Amino acid sequence: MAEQTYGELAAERVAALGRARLADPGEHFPYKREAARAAIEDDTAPAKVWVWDPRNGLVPRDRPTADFLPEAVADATEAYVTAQAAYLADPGAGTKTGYEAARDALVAARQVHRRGRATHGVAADEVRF
Amino acid sequence: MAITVSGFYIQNLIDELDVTNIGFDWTLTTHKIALISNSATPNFDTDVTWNSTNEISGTGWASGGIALSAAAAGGTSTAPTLTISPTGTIMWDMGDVSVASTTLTNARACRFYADALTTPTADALILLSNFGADYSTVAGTFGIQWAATGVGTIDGTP
Repeated sequence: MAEQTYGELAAERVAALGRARLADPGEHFPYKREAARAAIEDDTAPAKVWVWDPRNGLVPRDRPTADFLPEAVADATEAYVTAQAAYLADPGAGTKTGYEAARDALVAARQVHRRGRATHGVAADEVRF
Repeated sequence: MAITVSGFYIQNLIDELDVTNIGFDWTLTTHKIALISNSATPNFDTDVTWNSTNEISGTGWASGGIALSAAAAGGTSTAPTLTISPTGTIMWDMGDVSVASTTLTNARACRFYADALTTPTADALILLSNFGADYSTVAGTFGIQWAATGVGTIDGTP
Protein backbone atom coordinates (compact mmCIF):
# COMPACT_ATOMS: atom_id res chain seq x y z
CA MET A 1 0.00 0.00 0.00
CA ALA A 2 1.35 3.36 -1.00
CA GLU A 3 1.97 5.70 1.88
CA GLN A 4 -0.23 8.74 2.01
CA THR A 5 0.98 12.22 2.76
CA TYR A 6 -0.08 14.14 5.82
CA GLY A 7 -2.14 16.43 3.58
CA GLU A 8 -3.97 13.53 1.96
CA LEU A 9 -4.76 11.95 5.29
CA ALA A 10 -5.92 15.28 6.72
CA ALA A 11 -8.34 15.72 3.80
CA GLU A 12 -9.68 12.19 4.27
CA ARG A 13 -10.10 12.84 7.97
CA VAL A 14 -12.07 16.03 7.40
CA ALA A 15 -14.35 14.32 4.88
CA ALA A 16 -14.92 11.35 7.20
CA LEU A 17 -15.69 13.62 10.15
CA GLY A 18 -18.20 15.52 8.03
CA ARG A 19 -19.98 12.33 7.04
CA ALA A 20 -20.00 11.12 10.65
CA ARG A 21 -21.41 14.40 11.86
CA LEU A 22 -24.22 14.38 9.33
CA ALA A 23 -25.13 10.82 10.33
CA ASP A 24 -25.04 11.54 14.08
CA PRO A 25 -28.61 11.58 15.46
CA GLY A 26 -27.38 13.71 18.35
CA GLU A 27 -26.46 16.53 15.98
CA HIS A 28 -28.79 19.34 14.86
CA PHE A 29 -29.53 18.20 11.29
CA PRO A 30 -32.07 19.20 10.09
CA TYR A 31 -32.88 22.24 12.20
CA LYS A 32 -36.18 21.81 14.05
CA ARG A 33 -37.75 24.93 12.59
CA GLU A 34 -41.31 23.86 13.36
CA ALA A 35 -40.45 23.26 17.01
CA ALA A 36 -38.89 26.71 17.17
CA ARG A 37 -41.97 28.27 15.55
CA ALA A 38 -44.29 26.47 17.97
CA ALA A 39 -42.26 27.51 20.99
CA ILE A 40 -42.35 31.16 19.92
CA GLU A 41 -46.04 31.21 18.97
CA ASP A 42 -47.24 29.21 21.96
CA ASP A 43 -44.77 30.89 24.31
CA THR A 44 -44.37 27.53 25.96
CA ALA A 45 -41.25 28.43 27.88
CA PRO A 46 -41.54 31.96 29.18
CA ALA A 47 -38.91 32.95 31.65
CA LYS A 48 -37.87 35.72 33.92
CA VAL A 49 -34.87 37.85 33.19
CA TRP A 50 -32.98 39.67 35.90
CA VAL A 51 -32.92 43.41 35.50
CA TRP A 52 -31.01 45.92 37.61
CA ASP A 53 -33.30 48.15 39.66
CA PRO A 54 -31.63 51.06 41.50
CA ARG A 55 -33.87 50.56 44.54
CA ASN A 56 -34.05 46.80 44.74
CA GLY A 57 -30.97 45.51 42.95
CA LEU A 58 -31.47 42.60 40.57
CA VAL A 59 -35.18 41.93 40.11
CA PRO A 60 -36.96 39.46 37.82
CA ARG A 61 -39.01 40.54 34.81
CA ASP A 62 -41.19 38.18 32.79
CA ARG A 63 -39.92 37.74 29.25
CA PRO A 64 -41.50 35.76 26.42
CA THR A 65 -39.83 32.92 24.54
CA ALA A 66 -39.28 35.29 21.61
CA ASP A 67 -36.89 37.24 23.79
CA PHE A 68 -34.64 34.16 23.72
CA LEU A 69 -35.41 33.00 20.18
CA PRO A 70 -36.98 35.61 17.89
CA GLU A 71 -38.33 34.54 14.49
CA ALA A 72 -35.49 36.27 12.64
CA VAL A 73 -32.88 34.29 14.55
CA ALA A 74 -34.81 31.04 14.05
CA ASP A 75 -34.95 31.71 10.29
CA ALA A 76 -31.24 32.50 10.17
CA THR A 77 -30.45 29.42 12.25
CA GLU A 78 -32.33 27.21 9.83
CA ALA A 79 -30.40 28.67 6.89
CA TYR A 80 -27.11 28.24 8.77
CA VAL A 81 -27.76 24.61 9.67
CA THR A 82 -28.81 23.86 6.08
CA ALA A 83 -25.68 25.48 4.66
CA GLN A 84 -23.51 23.72 7.21
CA ALA A 85 -24.97 20.37 6.16
CA ALA A 86 -24.29 21.18 2.50
CA TYR A 87 -20.66 21.91 3.27
CA LEU A 88 -20.21 18.79 5.37
CA ALA A 89 -21.73 16.66 2.62
CA ASP A 90 -19.61 18.21 -0.12
CA PRO A 91 -16.68 20.27 1.18
CA GLY A 92 -15.51 22.74 -1.42
CA ALA A 93 -15.19 26.39 -2.26
CA GLY A 94 -18.83 26.77 -3.31
CA THR A 95 -20.38 25.19 -0.25
CA LYS A 96 -17.89 26.95 2.00
CA THR A 97 -18.90 30.33 0.62
CA GLY A 98 -22.55 29.50 1.24
CA TYR A 99 -21.79 28.27 4.74
CA GLU A 100 -19.84 31.38 5.66
CA ALA A 101 -22.53 33.67 4.29
CA ALA A 102 -25.23 31.87 6.28
CA ARG A 103 -23.06 31.94 9.39
CA ASP A 104 -22.41 35.67 9.08
CA ALA A 105 -26.12 36.30 8.54
CA LEU A 106 -26.95 34.33 11.69
CA VAL A 107 -24.37 36.17 13.77
CA ALA A 108 -25.71 39.50 12.47
CA ALA A 109 -29.30 38.50 13.30
CA ARG A 110 -28.30 37.60 16.83
CA GLN A 111 -26.45 40.87 17.31
CA VAL A 112 -29.36 42.96 16.04
CA HIS A 113 -31.66 41.18 18.49
CA ARG A 114 -29.31 41.40 21.44
CA ARG A 115 -28.41 45.02 20.94
CA GLY A 116 -32.10 45.81 20.86
CA ARG A 117 -32.94 44.29 24.18
CA ALA A 118 -32.22 45.77 27.54
CA THR A 119 -30.91 42.74 29.33
CA HIS A 120 -28.60 39.81 29.16
CA GLY A 121 -27.64 37.30 31.77
CA VAL A 122 -29.21 34.34 33.43
CA ALA A 123 -32.94 33.83 33.62
CA ALA A 124 -34.53 31.78 36.31
CA ASP A 125 -38.13 31.30 37.28
CA GLU A 126 -37.78 31.72 40.98
CA VAL A 127 -36.04 34.33 43.02
CA ARG A 128 -34.37 33.27 46.24
CA PHE A 129 -33.25 36.21 48.34
CA MET B 1 -13.29 28.04 46.70
CA ALA B 2 -15.25 30.19 44.31
CA ILE B 3 -15.84 31.06 40.71
CA THR B 4 -14.58 34.53 39.98
CA VAL B 5 -14.07 34.77 36.22
CA SER B 6 -15.17 33.28 32.91
CA GLY B 7 -12.65 31.78 30.53
CA PHE B 8 -11.53 29.31 27.92
CA TYR B 9 -9.72 26.15 28.98
CA ILE B 10 -6.31 26.93 27.58
CA GLN B 11 -4.63 23.53 27.67
CA ASN B 12 -7.26 22.06 25.38
CA LEU B 13 -6.76 24.91 22.92
CA ILE B 14 -3.06 24.12 22.83
CA ASP B 15 -3.80 20.42 22.43
CA GLU B 16 -5.95 21.18 19.41
CA LEU B 17 -3.21 23.15 17.73
CA ASP B 18 -0.21 20.92 18.44
CA VAL B 19 0.71 17.28 17.85
CA THR B 20 -2.01 16.13 20.27
CA ASN B 21 -4.70 17.27 17.79
CA ILE B 22 -7.64 16.39 20.04
CA GLY B 23 -10.31 16.97 17.38
CA PHE B 24 -11.96 20.16 18.62
CA ASP B 25 -14.72 21.55 16.42
CA TRP B 26 -16.56 24.20 18.39
CA THR B 27 -19.53 24.14 16.05
CA LEU B 28 -20.48 20.58 17.03
CA THR B 29 -23.88 20.44 18.70
CA THR B 30 -23.10 17.24 20.56
CA HIS B 31 -21.15 19.52 22.88
CA LYS B 32 -22.91 19.87 26.21
CA ILE B 33 -23.61 22.72 28.58
CA ALA B 34 -23.44 21.71 32.23
CA LEU B 35 -24.04 23.75 35.37
CA ILE B 36 -21.73 24.09 38.35
CA SER B 37 -21.92 25.57 41.82
CA ASN B 38 -19.80 28.26 43.41
CA SER B 39 -18.01 25.57 45.42
CA ALA B 40 -15.83 24.97 42.41
CA THR B 41 -12.46 26.60 41.80
CA PRO B 42 -11.70 26.46 38.08
CA ASN B 43 -8.14 26.31 36.82
CA PHE B 44 -8.19 27.38 33.18
CA ASP B 45 -4.58 26.33 32.65
CA THR B 46 -4.80 22.78 33.97
CA ASP B 47 -8.45 21.62 33.90
CA VAL B 48 -8.95 19.59 30.73
CA THR B 49 -11.77 17.08 31.28
CA TRP B 50 -15.32 17.69 32.45
CA ASN B 51 -16.34 15.86 35.63
CA SER B 52 -19.37 15.99 37.87
CA THR B 53 -17.70 17.48 40.93
CA ASN B 54 -19.80 20.42 42.16
CA GLU B 55 -22.24 19.89 39.30
CA ILE B 56 -25.75 21.33 39.54
CA SER B 57 -28.42 19.11 38.01
CA GLY B 58 -32.05 18.36 38.73
CA THR B 59 -35.45 17.90 37.16
CA GLY B 60 -35.28 18.79 33.48
CA TRP B 61 -31.52 19.21 33.54
CA ALA B 62 -29.76 15.84 33.72
CA SER B 63 -26.34 15.22 35.18
CA GLY B 64 -23.82 15.79 32.42
CA GLY B 65 -25.81 18.67 31.02
CA ILE B 66 -27.83 19.40 27.90
CA ALA B 67 -26.62 18.90 24.33
CA LEU B 68 -26.36 22.13 22.36
CA SER B 69 -28.58 20.52 19.72
CA ALA B 70 -31.47 20.76 22.20
CA ALA B 71 -30.63 23.64 24.55
CA ALA B 72 -32.56 26.43 22.82
CA ALA B 73 -36.28 27.20 23.06
CA GLY B 74 -38.48 24.35 21.88
CA GLY B 75 -35.67 21.85 22.29
CA THR B 76 -33.91 23.25 19.22
CA SER B 77 -30.24 23.82 18.51
CA THR B 78 -28.26 26.75 19.85
CA ALA B 79 -26.22 26.44 16.62
CA PRO B 80 -22.77 27.54 17.81
CA THR B 81 -20.73 29.71 15.45
CA LEU B 82 -17.14 30.87 15.17
CA THR B 83 -16.54 34.21 13.50
CA ILE B 84 -14.30 37.25 13.47
CA SER B 85 -15.89 39.85 15.71
CA PRO B 86 -14.60 42.44 16.26
CA THR B 87 -11.63 42.66 13.88
CA GLY B 88 -8.74 40.48 14.93
CA THR B 89 -10.84 38.56 17.44
CA ILE B 90 -12.34 35.08 17.38
CA MET B 91 -15.91 35.12 18.71
CA TRP B 92 -17.54 31.89 19.82
CA ASP B 93 -21.28 32.44 19.97
CA MET B 94 -24.57 30.58 19.96
CA GLY B 95 -28.29 31.11 20.39
CA ASP B 96 -29.67 31.80 23.84
CA VAL B 97 -30.18 28.84 26.14
CA SER B 98 -33.78 28.16 27.18
CA VAL B 99 -34.59 24.86 28.85
CA ALA B 100 -38.16 24.49 30.14
CA SER B 101 -39.54 22.65 33.17
CA THR B 102 -36.41 22.60 35.27
CA THR B 103 -35.91 22.55 39.01
CA LEU B 104 -32.38 23.62 39.85
CA THR B 105 -30.72 25.13 42.87
CA ASN B 106 -27.86 27.60 42.99
CA ALA B 107 -26.25 27.37 39.58
CA ARG B 108 -23.32 29.79 39.55
CA ALA B 109 -21.75 29.05 36.17
CA CYS B 110 -21.97 26.82 33.13
CA ARG B 111 -19.26 24.83 31.45
CA PHE B 112 -19.18 23.68 27.85
CA TYR B 113 -17.41 20.46 26.96
CA ALA B 114 -16.95 18.13 24.00
CA ASP B 115 -19.10 15.18 24.96
CA ALA B 116 -18.29 13.31 21.74
CA LEU B 117 -14.54 13.19 22.36
CA THR B 118 -13.06 10.16 24.09
CA THR B 119 -9.35 10.16 23.27
CA PRO B 120 -6.77 11.57 23.75
CA THR B 121 -8.89 13.86 25.95
CA ALA B 122 -12.34 12.69 26.97
CA ASP B 123 -15.04 15.31 27.49
CA ALA B 124 -12.61 18.11 26.72
CA LEU B 125 -13.57 21.37 28.41
CA ILE B 126 -14.12 24.41 26.20
CA LEU B 127 -15.27 27.36 28.28
CA LEU B 128 -16.73 28.37 31.64
CA SER B 129 -19.21 31.26 31.82
CA ASN B 130 -19.56 32.84 35.25
CA PHE B 131 -23.09 34.02 36.06
CA GLY B 132 -21.85 36.21 38.93
CA ALA B 133 -24.62 35.02 41.27
CA ASP B 134 -26.51 31.84 42.12
CA TYR B 135 -29.66 31.14 40.12
CA SER B 136 -32.44 28.65 40.80
CA THR B 137 -35.64 27.42 39.21
CA VAL B 138 -38.70 25.57 40.48
CA ALA B 139 -40.57 23.87 37.63
CA GLY B 140 -39.54 26.71 35.36
CA THR B 141 -37.34 27.71 32.47
CA PHE B 142 -33.62 28.04 32.96
CA GLY B 143 -32.33 30.46 30.37
CA ILE B 144 -29.14 32.25 29.49
CA GLN B 145 -29.19 35.35 27.31
CA TRP B 146 -25.77 35.88 25.80
CA ALA B 147 -24.37 39.34 25.27
CA ALA B 148 -24.09 40.81 21.77
CA THR B 149 -20.36 40.19 22.04
CA GLY B 150 -20.96 36.43 22.13
CA VAL B 151 -20.31 33.62 24.57
CA GLY B 152 -16.55 34.18 24.54
CA THR B 153 -13.82 35.85 22.53
CA ILE B 154 -10.10 35.37 21.97
CA ASP B 155 -8.26 38.53 21.00
CA GLY B 156 -5.60 37.63 18.45
CA THR B 157 -4.36 41.18 18.05
CA PRO B 158 -4.16 42.64 21.57
